[in-house]
Amino acid sequence: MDPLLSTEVGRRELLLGNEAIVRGALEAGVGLVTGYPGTPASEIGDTFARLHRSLGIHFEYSVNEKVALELAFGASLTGVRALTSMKHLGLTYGADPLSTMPYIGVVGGMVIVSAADPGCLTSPNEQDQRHLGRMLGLPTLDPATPDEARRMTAWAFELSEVCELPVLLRITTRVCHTRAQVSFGALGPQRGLGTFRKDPKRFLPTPAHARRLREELQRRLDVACRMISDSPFNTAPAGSGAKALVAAGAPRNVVRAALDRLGQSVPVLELGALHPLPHELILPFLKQHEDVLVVEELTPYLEDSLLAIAHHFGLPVRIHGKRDEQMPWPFELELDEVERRVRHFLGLEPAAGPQPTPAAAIALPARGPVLCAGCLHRNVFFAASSVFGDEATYVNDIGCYTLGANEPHRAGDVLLAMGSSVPLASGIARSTGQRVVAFLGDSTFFHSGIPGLVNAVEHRDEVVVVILDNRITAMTGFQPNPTSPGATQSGRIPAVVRALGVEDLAVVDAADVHATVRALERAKRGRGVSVVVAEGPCAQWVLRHGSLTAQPPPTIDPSRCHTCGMAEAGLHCELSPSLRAQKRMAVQKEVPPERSRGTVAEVPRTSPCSLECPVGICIPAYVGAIAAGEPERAYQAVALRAALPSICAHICHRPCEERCVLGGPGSRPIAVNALKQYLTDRHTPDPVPQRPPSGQPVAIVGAGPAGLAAAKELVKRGYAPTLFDARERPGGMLEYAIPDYRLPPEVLRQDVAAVLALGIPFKGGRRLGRDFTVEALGDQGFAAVLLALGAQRGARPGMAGAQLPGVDDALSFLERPPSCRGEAVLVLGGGDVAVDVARTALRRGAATVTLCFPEPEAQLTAAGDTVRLAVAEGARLVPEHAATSLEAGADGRVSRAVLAAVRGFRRTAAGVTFEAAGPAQPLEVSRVVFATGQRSDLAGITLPAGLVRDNGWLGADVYGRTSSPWLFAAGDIVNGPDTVTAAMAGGVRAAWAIDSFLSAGREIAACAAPLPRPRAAHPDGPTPLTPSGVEGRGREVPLGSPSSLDPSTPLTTGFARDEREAAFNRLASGASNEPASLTADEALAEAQRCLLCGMCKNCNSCVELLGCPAIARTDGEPKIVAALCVSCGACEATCPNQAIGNRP
Amino acid sequence: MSPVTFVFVGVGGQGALSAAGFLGEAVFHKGIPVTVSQLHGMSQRGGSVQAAVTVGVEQVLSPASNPIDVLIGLELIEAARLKARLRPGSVVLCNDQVVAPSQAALQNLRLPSSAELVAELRRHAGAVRVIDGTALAEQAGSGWALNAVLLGALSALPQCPVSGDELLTAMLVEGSPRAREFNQRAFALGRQAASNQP
Repeated sequence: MDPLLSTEVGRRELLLGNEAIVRGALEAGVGLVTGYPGTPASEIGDTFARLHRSLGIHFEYSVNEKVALELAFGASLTGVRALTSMKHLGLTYGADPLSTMPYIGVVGGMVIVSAADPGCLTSPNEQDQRHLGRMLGLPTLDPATPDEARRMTAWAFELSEVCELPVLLRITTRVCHTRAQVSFGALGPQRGLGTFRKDPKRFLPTPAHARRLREELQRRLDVACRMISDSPFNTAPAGSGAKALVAAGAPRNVVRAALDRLGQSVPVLELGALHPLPHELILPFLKQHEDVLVVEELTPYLEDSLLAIAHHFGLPVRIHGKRDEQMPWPFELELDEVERRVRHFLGLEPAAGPQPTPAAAIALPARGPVLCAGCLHRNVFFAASSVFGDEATYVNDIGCYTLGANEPHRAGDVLLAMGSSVPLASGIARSTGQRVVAFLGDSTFFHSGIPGLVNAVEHRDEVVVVILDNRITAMTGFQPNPTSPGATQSGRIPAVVRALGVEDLAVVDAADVHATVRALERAKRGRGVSVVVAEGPCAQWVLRHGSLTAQPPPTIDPSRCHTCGMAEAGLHCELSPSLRAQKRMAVQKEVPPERSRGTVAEVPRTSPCSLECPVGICIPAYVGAIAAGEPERAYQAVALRAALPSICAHICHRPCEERCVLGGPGSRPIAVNALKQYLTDRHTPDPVPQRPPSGQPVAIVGAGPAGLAAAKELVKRGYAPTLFDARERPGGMLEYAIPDYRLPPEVLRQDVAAVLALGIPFKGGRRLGRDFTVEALGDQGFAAVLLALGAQRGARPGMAGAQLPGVDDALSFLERPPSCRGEAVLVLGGGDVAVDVARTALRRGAATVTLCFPEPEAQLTAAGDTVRLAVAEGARLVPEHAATSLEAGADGRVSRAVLAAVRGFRRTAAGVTFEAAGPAQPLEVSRVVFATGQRSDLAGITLPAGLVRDNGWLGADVYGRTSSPWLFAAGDIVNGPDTVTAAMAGGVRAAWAIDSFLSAGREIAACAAPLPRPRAAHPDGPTPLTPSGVEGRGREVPLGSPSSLDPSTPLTTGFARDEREAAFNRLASGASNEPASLTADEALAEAQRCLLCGMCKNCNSCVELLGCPAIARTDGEPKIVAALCVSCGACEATCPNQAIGNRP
Repeated sequence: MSPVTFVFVGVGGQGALSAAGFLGEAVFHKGIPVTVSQLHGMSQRGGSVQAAVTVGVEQVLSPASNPIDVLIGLELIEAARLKARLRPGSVVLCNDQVVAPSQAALQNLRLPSSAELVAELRRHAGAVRVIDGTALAEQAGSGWALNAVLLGALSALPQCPVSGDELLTAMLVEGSPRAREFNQRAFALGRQAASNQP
């Protein structure tokens, strides 16, 4: 049998104050008990919950304190003795009905236990409930020890019944949570049934009756005052002396202990029954002493009363305490502090200062409360902060989930009181015009959350209400509430919410992070009140009930717990995505199985798209930042690696998109480049140099993409480059060969101007070999020379008629496009340049344009979308054909081309050779343009011996180093025509090499950090993968990424070009111009599709994004603490690398 | 007898409060005045927890009030946190375990090592005994038995106001049969570990 039920009078037990109160109530024969859990009062309800069935009395955790008070009062009206318990905040919540109870008065004794929390250990404030007793007319008792609490409780019922008033038993944490000896009195007969006797003049406090009841209240208080005077809970000391102390409530213990320590015996008036204050006891005491120190907690409640009495009776006594700062106001009174104050009051010598403690040798990390391992609130906060970000306002509420306001979730900007979150959010939303997020727990929802929600619905407030239904009141020790298993409303919060008029309602399993993210995203986009109910039982509660799945804790697979290859190569990541972007990356990792073409494991170390990027842009970083709603940060990620970001965004050949794991039949890759253009269209490069160029001068000959990129990189590294170019304007091929409709001149000039604005002199119209020599540059003091001359001469094959009037090479044609009005134009070649020529000719008025190329159409090297556009604009494709000769007409201009079907062809440095497969077919033409290749133009240039190779290009390694240590080469001049981005990447790599050369032997790798990786060297001779055209489509093979050099690495393969729906461009609409930039909504939606493959070694996402106590960090690496882990799966679901799991 | 203050300290969930309760019960049933005072706040969510058992006098005071005569630490950081209340005559009995606060992982703080923490305790207390309570609890059959190991070790100290049997009896009043079994084993292992120490 439970010792609390013992009938043995005088039995002694070691009991908590809260348990002693239960015993006292049982001794008084309590018949009905209600309460609402709240520390430090919780054990009162918990103990009754354990015992009430065997006693045959009713106990309930009511839905809130107001209800608990009203219910107990109702029982009291029938003559049953009733007790209700709550923490201090709850009593204030129930103060409305409480205020009229003394008017009506009780029939059966009624005791209200309200536990105060001096020091705010578990509460948002301190409250001195004694004022409420005086204000409303409740006799008030304040015990100091568990045994006194028992005696007071039992007596309080008697007091209540005699004076007909509810009695307030105000307790404090110290009494609640101390175990001390309690002696039992006789157990009273429990009487759970009473009779309600109608008495309208008393029970209906209408104004007609209220005036009389007010007078009645005064009479009742007089009765209470007499009883308190005679009670054993107040003791006046016999002794006299100039100085005396007054102690009330729990500080009585501290005063006794302090006097013990001081070895003093000073008269102490000890008060446990405080309202109404017994003057008979106090007046003689005050008359006996000259100085009185009042020791009480929280407010000078008693001190003020004594001051009033002394004043009223004209006593000379001086009252000291909080008013004259002799005692501290806030917090629990600690022994050391009280001893010091009493010592001072008594005029004793100050104690020797505290022993100097040795200086701390080590710093001790703080240990605050956290959401438990496996807590599903964590998932919801993770999801919410990922969806709404730091800029949103979060209103939290009272419960375990208050902890969501802490790092790393920061999902709590305001906290007020039980059920306040929704109305607070409504007020903030109204006054900011923003959609505000409110959190609310299950018990809190029923407690006082419903009115606020109804109000928000009624007024159509812009709030997202997240109800965290974990089925139990966990914070205070797992008390049941209406949504607990077996309760009437269990699992019915959604139904209740709907009945309140909420139309936008989602119910999610809180264990499913991804589903929670999706639901919150929908709620974010909604209008008016959106409610997301996240359901899932409290993990600790489930753990205690032994039904948690016996899954072993997951482990972290070190081979997958990684970062990109950059960090592995000793390079640092400068991108440092925001916490929110990281979360976004983490949750977006959910790969629908049918879409998962290549898994992350197959492409170790970084994402496939980034592997492909010639200039090494970290694509997940900027796509992730867009998805996280941080376009500024996204732009920085692009600009960090792309020397000419806007140009890059307009004309990049997008190898990244070919390798996107989302691409494939029936699916489309992420529109990586369109997202980049979205960024560059909205941002301009920052023209301010990091530091003014002041270092060694470097000459760069050629101001095309390679030269410009090299110049920018050199400035970043502190050198002073000068750009020379044969043409008057900088830009090279960008300026002269890329048509305006593909690269608008203003975009080109903006990017080029931004580079020159770094303080780089541009010397235009200066042609190497004509106006100056390489050697002369050395004489002028340039410490290094970079040749970035490009491949500027259009090539014409040696076929008959190739030199006829009306026959052009592509570069000449594109530089100054002639009028083609009414002409029949034949373009020979199938690369991007050929398509550029075809589309330019159509824009210049050509009647017909024919594109003739030897490849099958499906193998065209030009970007598929531009080919389709050309066709849409009127170009005709003649695949698998080649021209064998051109013939002149009567005017001497070309008038006919002879085409032949080809069976096979081969590209060499000299051009295309092919085998004819069918009869020659004549084609009437008025203009022919060769887009079949380009050459270097080194005429008149003196270069060191051996630098120019047999094929006409310069000999240099991937870093642009030549046989002369001071001479470097980059761009098309090294390996022949390649993409613009490849040229930029070459320029950047050459800048590293120049840095390495000029900084006397620093390793290139050190110079390279954190810049893009170089691509592998081309083999000499024919370049089978790089056919004709400026915009060749060679496979970029970046160095520095360990896996990428291994040809056997099972990278996802490219797919047929016609499937490459060119991701999200709007060309399919048939628009003749390049697509307009994405809208913000489109960009966000597109970025959020990205799976963000391949993030970061020891990215520590699991540690930093979840804040789970079961994930520790040892030597910088995350470790799962098996002893704490409950296998909830949250880390597994959010690991960006899919490194966490239960794998055999 | 003059009052002796025993303080149990640890991380929420380690069993510091119940260990203090068991000692209090054992002392109480021997007829010695005793109070057990708790300080736990929101500690069931992984915060720090302490409870004081004051033997020889009834004092309803904050457990943070008195100098500590015997400190029983279930975790080293939390034990070291109370160093200012240790005196040259104080005895420390501590589990050799550092539980990283989850905020420390978040902030990537360097944690003090077990050796550093023990050294810090030695600078403040007269005697410091360290036992590998976590391993002994596992050996006894459950990590939950950590507090039983420490109580067993406490029972071997001359400062303990009750005998090993008295303390064990108080401890075994509660719990499932299985828990009683592993707690009993853990108690014996802890007692043995402390007896073997100089």
